[in-house]
Amino acid sequence: MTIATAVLQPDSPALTAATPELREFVVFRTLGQDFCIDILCVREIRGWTKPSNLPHAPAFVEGVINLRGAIIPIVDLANRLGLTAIDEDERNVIIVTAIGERVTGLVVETVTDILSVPATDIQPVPDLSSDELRAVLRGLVVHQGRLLRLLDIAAILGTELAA
Amino acid sequence: MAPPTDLRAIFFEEAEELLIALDAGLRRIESGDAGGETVNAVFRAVHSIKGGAAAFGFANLVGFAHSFESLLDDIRSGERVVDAPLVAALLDASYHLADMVNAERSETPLDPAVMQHAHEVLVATRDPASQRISIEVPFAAVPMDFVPLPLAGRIFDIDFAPHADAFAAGHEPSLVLRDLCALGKAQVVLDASALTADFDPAQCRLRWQIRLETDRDEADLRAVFDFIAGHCDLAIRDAVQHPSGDVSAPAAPPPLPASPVRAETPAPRSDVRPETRPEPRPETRPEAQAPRATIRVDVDRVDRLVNVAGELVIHHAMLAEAILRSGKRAETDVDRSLDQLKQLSRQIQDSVMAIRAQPVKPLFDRMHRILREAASVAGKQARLVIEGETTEVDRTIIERLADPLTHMIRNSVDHGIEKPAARRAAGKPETGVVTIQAAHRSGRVVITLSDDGGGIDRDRVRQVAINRGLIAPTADLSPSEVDALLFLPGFSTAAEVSALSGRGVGMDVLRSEITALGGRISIASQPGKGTALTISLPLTLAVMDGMVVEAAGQVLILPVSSIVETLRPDGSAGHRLGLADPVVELRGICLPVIDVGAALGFRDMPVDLAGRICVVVERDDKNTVALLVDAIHDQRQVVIKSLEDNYGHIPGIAAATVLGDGSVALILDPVELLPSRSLRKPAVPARTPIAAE
Amino acid sequence: MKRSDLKVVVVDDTAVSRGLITQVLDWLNIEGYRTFSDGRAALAGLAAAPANLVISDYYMPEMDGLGLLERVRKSRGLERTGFILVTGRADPAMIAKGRALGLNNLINKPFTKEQMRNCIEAVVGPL
Repeated sequence: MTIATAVLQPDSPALTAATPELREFVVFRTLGQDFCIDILCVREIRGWTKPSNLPHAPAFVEGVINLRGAIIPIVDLANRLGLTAIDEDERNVIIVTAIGERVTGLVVETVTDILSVPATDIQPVPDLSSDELRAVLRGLVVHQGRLLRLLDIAAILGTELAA
Repeated sequence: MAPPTDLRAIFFEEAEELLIALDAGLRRIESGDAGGETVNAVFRAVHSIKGGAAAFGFANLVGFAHSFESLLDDIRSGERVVDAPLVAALLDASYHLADMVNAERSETPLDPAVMQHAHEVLVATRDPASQRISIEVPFAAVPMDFVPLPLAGRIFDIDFAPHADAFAAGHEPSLVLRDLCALGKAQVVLDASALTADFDPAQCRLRWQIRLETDRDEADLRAVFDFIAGHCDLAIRDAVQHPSGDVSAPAAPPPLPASPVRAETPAPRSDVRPETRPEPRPETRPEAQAPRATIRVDVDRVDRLVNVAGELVIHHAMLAEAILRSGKRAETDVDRSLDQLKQLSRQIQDSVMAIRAQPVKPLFDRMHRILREAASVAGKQARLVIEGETTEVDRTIIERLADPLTHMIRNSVDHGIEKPAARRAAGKPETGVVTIQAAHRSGRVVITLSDDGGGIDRDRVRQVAINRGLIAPTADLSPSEVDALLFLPGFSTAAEVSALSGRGVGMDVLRSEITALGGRISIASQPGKGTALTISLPLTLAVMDGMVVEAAGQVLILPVSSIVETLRPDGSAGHRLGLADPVVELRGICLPVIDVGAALGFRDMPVDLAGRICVVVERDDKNTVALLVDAIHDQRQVVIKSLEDNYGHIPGIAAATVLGDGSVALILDPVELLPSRSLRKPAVPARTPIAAE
Repeated sequence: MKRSDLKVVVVDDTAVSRGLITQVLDWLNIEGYRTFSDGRAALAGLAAAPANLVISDYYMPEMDGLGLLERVRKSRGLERTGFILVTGRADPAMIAKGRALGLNNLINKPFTKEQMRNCIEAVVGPL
């Protein structure tokens, strides 16, 4: 399964002047929780492929897959966030992200939406979140009754995965 | 006139070649060849750099090159005799010139004081008596009357035979002929011999021979026939003979005495690219003088080709696997074609890699300067001897070797070569010799850098290692194990980092630089005689021959180049010393066994040797070790993919590849996989959770 | 002389200098030019298809600019080829030799496009 990647055009000056800045997010669900990340870090979304194991890797690194000739690591997002690991399931999807030159796949249960939200609708993170989440949360978005946690992908994947 | 930026890029590219020619020429002069052609070549190199620099307004560069040129002119005219101090001054000037070119290229200006000093030294080197006043002599132009030249084009013979169905396909040959005639002066002959009395007017039975004189090239001519291409036979060739009187031709002068090309040879169009060289026709190609045709190609284009060739190898493997699964493999046609495809893709791979292969000479030549400067700072005397400089290596490897080699040269001068007095006392010549050597050995490139210095002071190395807590005071180490301590992280510290080889670069950094290239480094030393560092590198970073093995359920690749043999230990061959550390006996020698699955952490407990396979691999220091795997699947060419681009370095893993089913397999690094008593890498620390960061 | 009729041969061993000269020719809308990287190749090219004007560098390996001029003047059919020498270092001896060989004009490096145009026009007449 491959979902076509939406491409976000840079904000046009005409838009930003009159209306509040719109931001686009990829919304997904893993371990029953809803998250979203900035669409600008998302390269593509693809179906699950069984990764090959990596030796001496942290537990949240499931292994590596071949993405059109490039070898990219696959990270179990739930596990990385300090939740338990998600079950290995062919219905899981991989969100391919790019931080700078570095490409990483995030395995999540399902991608649910691509959402445009005015920047003013992003709420600050309340104190009650757990420490693991707070370090990587950039805000909260309430959308159609669901609470979406806005993740900072660079903070999650910015450092080298390999020890 | 501001030259466009692409000329600027060409200038720097050419300047680099000229600097190499300059360096080579100066070293010929240094070795006693101050002959006219050598000095001329050196002069031309400096002069051409000056000429280009002037066009781009690099004033400092022009000024310095001008003084340099004047000094060379004194030598050229015989006013100045070449002696050792002059050669030294010329070399220094050439290095400064190179620095100035680099400064302009990177747009990072040099220190004005440094430039001024270098210029003053250069000017002072000139004998004041020879500093003539240049006289501007005006040159009065001599106008000429010109007769217009005849059309200076090429002459083509064209055979054009539309197929019988050309009319039916909607083509009209007369229109094609009209377009063709618009390109130049044409003489068209109709051949109607195929017309019979009862011909079918719906079918085309005519053909034409055209002689065309044109300043267009063959591609332009072919373009005229594009539409009708599928419905005609077409032959276009150069008219070799002189055209007959009805097509006018330039009055060609008689052949010149030394001209390599016969006069009637059509002029190749060489105005397309400045680099284009006229290529004589094969039958007139002279044996010796003709320069070999070369083209400049953007490196990115070659790299793209390398990647595509790599994908081809992968897709061949995928196709083979798919066919195998479908059970069609038995069909001999399929099998034969598949085999052919494999051969072809390997040939493409090899050809592409050959494009990127370059001799190590330019890299090695750069080391003369490094050595010279290091020796002058350290107050030592040393010269560099280069051997095997024609050895070819992939350019990606050459590029990344410059830093490690520089460190190695500086180390040799700083820690290897003794001061002149000490050398005299030891009965050695005052000038030390550093030798850098390259050779191909069993599918790898081996580069050895040796010096005739004092060798490693093992007692001191041992003491330092004990002081730093790297080894126990009681450790019993062999001489080569002591030497290997130099590579340990934390062995060299700021306290003993000298002005040169230091700069924070210890031997451990050198080793990781080499390891990152898929290479290995080893050291050998003889007290009083010298030290040799040997690095062995893969020929390419793109493909390798791999053995596909399985361990603990994982498919892994072992580089074939490191494999000595494989064996199945039976009950008697395998032994276990104590609890761990199994050994296997091979022709009376006990080899340590490394359980690959356990070494990579894919399984916890060591497994029984029986029923498994030992792959005996060799280290560069000739130690052999047996890697225990569960099964061997295949041997094939694999495309090397970096793990470090998107992940990082994993100890024991050299890289990754993509298998026929599209999955990723890791390529083992047999040497890093080896636990060795004194050099075991520290365990990978467990990653801290996010919350703790 | 009409620009469209003018056939020029440019000879220089460095691509930069060839490019600097052809840039001026492009600016002058002179389309009929060919470039060569050494004197020998230029002679072969001229023998195959003559030109009105040669613009050649002086310092080149094997055959320098004046060597090329000498050969051009001695080749039947090429005697009347215009010849401009480009040099960064004109000394009296070079100029004297050039004059003796029938050099048409000389231009110093670096040159502006106007200087090069004037230098060409001094030989072939207004373009």
